[in-house]
Amino acid sequence: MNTVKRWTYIGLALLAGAAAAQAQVRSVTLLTPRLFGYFVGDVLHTEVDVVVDKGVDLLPASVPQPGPLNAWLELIGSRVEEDSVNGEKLYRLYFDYQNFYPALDSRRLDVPGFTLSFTSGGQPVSEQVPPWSFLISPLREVQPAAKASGADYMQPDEIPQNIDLHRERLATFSFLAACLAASGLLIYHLAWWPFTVRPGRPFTDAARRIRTLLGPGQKESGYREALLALHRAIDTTAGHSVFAEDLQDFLDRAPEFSRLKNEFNLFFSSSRQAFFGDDVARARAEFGADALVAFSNRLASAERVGP
Amino acid sequence: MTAVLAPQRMRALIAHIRDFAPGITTTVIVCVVIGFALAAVAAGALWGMNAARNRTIAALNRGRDVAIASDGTPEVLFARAYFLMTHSRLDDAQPLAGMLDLRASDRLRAAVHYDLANARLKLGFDKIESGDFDAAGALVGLAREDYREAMRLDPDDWNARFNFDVASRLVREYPSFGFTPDERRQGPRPLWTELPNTPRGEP
Repeated sequence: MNTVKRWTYIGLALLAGAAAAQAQVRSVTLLTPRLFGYFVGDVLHTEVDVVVDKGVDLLPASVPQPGPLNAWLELIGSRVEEDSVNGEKLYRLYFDYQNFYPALDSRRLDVPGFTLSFTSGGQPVSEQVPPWSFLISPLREVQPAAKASGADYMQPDEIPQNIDLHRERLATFSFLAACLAASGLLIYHLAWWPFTVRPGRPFTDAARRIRTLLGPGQKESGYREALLALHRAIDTTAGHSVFAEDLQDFLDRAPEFSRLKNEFNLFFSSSRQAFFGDDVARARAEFGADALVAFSNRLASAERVGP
Repeated sequence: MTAVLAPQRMRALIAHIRDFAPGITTTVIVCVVIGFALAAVAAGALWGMNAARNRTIAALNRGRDVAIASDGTPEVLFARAYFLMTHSRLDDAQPLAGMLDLRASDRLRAAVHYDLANARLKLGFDKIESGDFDAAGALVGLAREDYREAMRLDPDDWNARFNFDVASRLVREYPSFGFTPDERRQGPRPLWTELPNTPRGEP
């Protein structure tokens, strides 16, 4: 029985050796931070670099998981990254330890090692990560001066703080400023007060004047004045007097208005009726007050949009 | 090629949109104005809400017993919990600390655990003075657990480290306090020893 067992062992060892010859763990390197000058509560970040051949895989379950290791040491972070260097696989394992050792004097503390398991072609391979140690220092004197009560030895409470409002304040004022700026832009764009008198917007001015002239409860003569106002706006825009026969030339130079060609024709014909035929009533019937207001508004809008 | 064409295409697209809707620029500007106005109103409302919360915190800090909604903001919950801790109502403060553990930032949670531990340690000192060592031992043990939690949540909390040291000296001084690890601190079971492929002795 014993012999059989022994042979089984040797066989297993041979198998393991054969597997190791094919693919194995090349190196295990433990990288620690400085090993002295720590206090209770300090966190120590370590890294374990393991180089393995292709075909060797780390068993994730063998990587220590966060949790307490003993009464005063806790693994608080554990993370694995896989990299490759010169065709070999490199596992970078990061471990963060936090100590809770309330030291009375400076002393050396041991951090235990652990075993990492790998599989190589179905065979288990294990590697030892060595233990290490660091020096911890006390936080205060061994024999503090005598005080009236125990609470006098303690650090004070953390008083609840107000919620910081500066972000909300900044956001509110920024949005208000942006809103005002955009409103200013809108007012400028529509040429409202205080941008009412602005060079280069004759149709906007004319449209405003026509709205007043043809508004409810206005005189009959308003229609004539409205026609005149629009004529003046066209002349200002063109830079010279524009009559019916110059219309096409004007529209070629200012294409943004060409969409309104039909209205222009109606306008010029009713203007001829009103001023040369002296027949305001007929002109009004041809191109009513509402149509004139709408036309001037559309002209103002086309002027804002630009060429 | 496309880089050269892109601006032209863009201009053509804009012209197309303008033909389709001549008032598009006005509409866009109006939308921007309304958007900024709504954002300003929202930010202002948040500002007002938090200012009201700050008034509650200030009242609690001045020692006025202000009731708060249990689903309040973490900062207000903390102020309420601190008020209870400092007015000999530790048992009422504990559930609030539990609630904060669920939704507050690590920084705030560390502060709550630190203050809770301070309150327990002070009570522990009182019990030692009155000779009730059993109660003192339990309180100091709980305080140490909360200091550890505070250090875990905020490793830069030096006051927690200091007071943890104070509490631990008490355990040294009165060995009957002993070391009783908290159930909560046991962490996950080491499952990996149960898995195959790890050596477990003879077959």
